[in-house]
Amino acid sequence: MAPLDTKNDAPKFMGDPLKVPVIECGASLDTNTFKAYPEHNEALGFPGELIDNWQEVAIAKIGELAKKNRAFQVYLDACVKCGACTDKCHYFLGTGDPKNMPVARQDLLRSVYRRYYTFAGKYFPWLVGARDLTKEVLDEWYTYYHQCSQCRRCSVACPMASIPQRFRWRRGKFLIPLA
Amino acid sequence: MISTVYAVLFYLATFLMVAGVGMKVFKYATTPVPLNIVVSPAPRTKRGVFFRMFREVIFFESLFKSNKWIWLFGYLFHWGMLIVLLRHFRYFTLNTWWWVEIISPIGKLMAFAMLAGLLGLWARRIFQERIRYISNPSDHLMLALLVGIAGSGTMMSYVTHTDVINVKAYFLGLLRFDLSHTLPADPILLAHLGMVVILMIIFPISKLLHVPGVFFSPSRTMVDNAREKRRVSKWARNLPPLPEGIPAKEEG
Repeated sequence: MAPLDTKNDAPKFMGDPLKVPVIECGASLDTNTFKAYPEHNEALGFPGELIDNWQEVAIAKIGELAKKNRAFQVYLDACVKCGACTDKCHYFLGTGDPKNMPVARQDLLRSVYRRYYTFAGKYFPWLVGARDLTKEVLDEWYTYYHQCSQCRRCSVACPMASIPQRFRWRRGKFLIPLA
Repeated sequence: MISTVYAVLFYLATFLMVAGVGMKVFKYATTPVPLNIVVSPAPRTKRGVFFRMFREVIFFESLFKSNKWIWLFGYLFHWGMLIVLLRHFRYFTLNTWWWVEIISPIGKLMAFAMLAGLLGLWARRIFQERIRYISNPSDHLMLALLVGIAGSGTMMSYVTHTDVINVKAYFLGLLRFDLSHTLPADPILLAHLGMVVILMIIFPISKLLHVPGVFFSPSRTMVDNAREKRRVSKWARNLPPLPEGIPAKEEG
């Protein structure tokens, strides 16, 4: 096999590397990882299929994490949605899907936390964008938390802390027991 | 009548704000940090953390690095608001402190910096597509409230003055639990104070919690000493024992 001619064989980068894409809702919604086989989950001590009372379990888990982890608790309260992280994620830069913006990715979970654990979310959900935990939300968690490599670039950009990044590794705790 | 209503509102709002923020700070301070999650490049000493937080709080360092426009507007707004707030000490102290006298003329001008910053941030929320996507109604209302407070305050400084002597007498009375003074029934003043009351009440249940929150952010306030010091949080000590060779307790 002839040696690789990097000048001519490698795909050319198209467009301006500094350009931030125009947002396109649902652009990477169909890009999903394979779900684990039930027997693999069971071998790890998790249920093989989605359990019946998964909502209760997930909501209780959110509360437990907030109690056990200061980062989780503080970041859920303190994000001001300034938007400094929005153009930092390479998954967003590559796909243009707005839910891959770090702040929107964390809001997938934060909106649920607000609905069940904060005054504003309990009584004025429409005001703060709080959402009930539905199967659609769960599917979004599955899709978009997997579209993150935990590089922490967003946490370097965040003026408060590292709000968005912390929510990524939650998928291990949420999604394995649930799906 | 109006004076009594506002007195009750201010006592209530002050109580809710102090108690609410106090409870939140207590919760933040007592919630464990199970892992060292400090964001690089991180200082390796407590002194270094102090300087990092100093740069963060005084200069908004990481915001400056990540987005110049948000930094500019945010910086104008926060510093403008700080000076304006400090200037307000003249309405709450019988003899105005000397340093309040010094910053008072600057404070009057900083009202415009505050307004410019707020309007800039709001414009970003409306016209910048990505930030419009992440904005909820509450984000807009918060900006509207702050613009209302800053705008009405600036009006009273530059357009229609209120009877500031009586305002001061009223608030000095409130501080001494003496409700005999009347608040001037000036619509702009009442609107200004009413919006301040709302802001105080929603403080502990809104994103304004970023004020205490920034000081409790583990990814900025921790020392990068993961190799020197093993962290095991209290709840993790009761987990099943670790494999042989891994110490279960902290080592110096």
